[in-house]
Amino acid sequence: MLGLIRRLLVDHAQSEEVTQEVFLEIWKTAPKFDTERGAAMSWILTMAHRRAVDRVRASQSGHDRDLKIGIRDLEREYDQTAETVEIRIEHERVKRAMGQLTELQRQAISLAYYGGYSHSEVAELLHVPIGTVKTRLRDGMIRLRDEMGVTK
Amino acid sequence: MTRDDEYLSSGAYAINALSADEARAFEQALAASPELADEADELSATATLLGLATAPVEPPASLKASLMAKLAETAQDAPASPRASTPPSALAPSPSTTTSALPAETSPEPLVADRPAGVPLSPVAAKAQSRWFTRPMGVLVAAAAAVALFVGGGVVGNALTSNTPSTSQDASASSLAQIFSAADVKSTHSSIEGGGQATVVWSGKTGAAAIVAQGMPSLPSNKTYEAWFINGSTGVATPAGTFVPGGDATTWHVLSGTMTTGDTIGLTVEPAGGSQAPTTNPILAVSSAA
Repeated sequence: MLGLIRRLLVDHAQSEEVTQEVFLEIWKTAPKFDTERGAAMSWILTMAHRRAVDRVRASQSGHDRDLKIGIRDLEREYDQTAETVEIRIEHERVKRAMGQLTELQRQAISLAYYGGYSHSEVAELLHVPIGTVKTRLRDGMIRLRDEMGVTK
Repeated sequence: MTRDDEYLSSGAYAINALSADEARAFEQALAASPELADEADELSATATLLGLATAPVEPPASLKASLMAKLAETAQDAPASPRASTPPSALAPSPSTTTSALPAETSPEPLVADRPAGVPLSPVAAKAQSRWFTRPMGVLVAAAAAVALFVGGGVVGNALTSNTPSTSQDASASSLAQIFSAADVKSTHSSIEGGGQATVVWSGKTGAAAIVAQGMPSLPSNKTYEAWFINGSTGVATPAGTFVPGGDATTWHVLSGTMTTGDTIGLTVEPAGGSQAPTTNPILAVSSAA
């Protein structure tokens, strides 16, 4: 969880703050959690991602982020995912599935998910219309779902 | 939004790339279309896998300590329905369980009482610890949160789905939360000979240990994995329970018996039913020495 949050928030102090926030929220709402709705892990990571993205967008530095940095960091971000393949099987699955995407789908998903950029920011970064970004995100996510065999 | 717009937004929604207003509009559309809701669920589950692929980061001790202190001061919400709360009796270890449970887990007192008189828990830590396992349902999810925080990445898998027998999992989640909430919790991540990864977590003060395993190959029915506490000075191995790993899914196995600081936590393949002493070479050996 901290790994994911830190990925989105480069600032360590901020990522610890968000981790703490998410952890306490999990603690507070745990008794309400209905285990039949899905694995707790999924719930936790979804919440962690949402909070980290909120934080990125809320902070002034988030608005002022140099969009060019996003592009420059993109390849590095993806390489980091690849480097950790040895550690967990999930990495291998994700890497393999990511390899099945088109370059454009991969860029859009990496920027949005790991970079915390909104679809309109991604559109600006990649110089394409918002509708195109939405299509790429959806097609890419569907491809990932199918590659990784995610079913309800 | 037109129907096409809604469908187009499902990918962006799953990875939190919509603005707050757009996300609200999409959620309204979800309520009206089961088909769209299914797609959104599946893509959200896919997004979770992307999250699991990030490199785990070991949280600093200061973060763990401040979290534990805050847990003591944060009240939990009431359960939403009777089903969401597990009666305390369900925490009793089940005889059929493959996961060994600690006898002390149903009550927080022994943990505190076992502490040497010279090393009292701070009131805040004691309160935090008792909260960890006096709320039966919360503890199951809290254990998952603890695993997520302390071990990183893709943990829990089948251990927390409702189609597994819940009693043994509740009990072991409680034990696991107990280990993670111990002041002196330590963990080591290693590869298992023959396949798979294991994170061994233990607390010298409480003498409790667990193995969080992933990707361990299934064994033929006449074999089993067995864990051991191997005494640091005498080399004598004490059985710490047998278990069945969850394959690709990550599962935890709380070890039975009491570990002494300095023991090596080992794992061997034994004939079905387990042995009284190891009969094969360890496929995993982690020393708990400081």
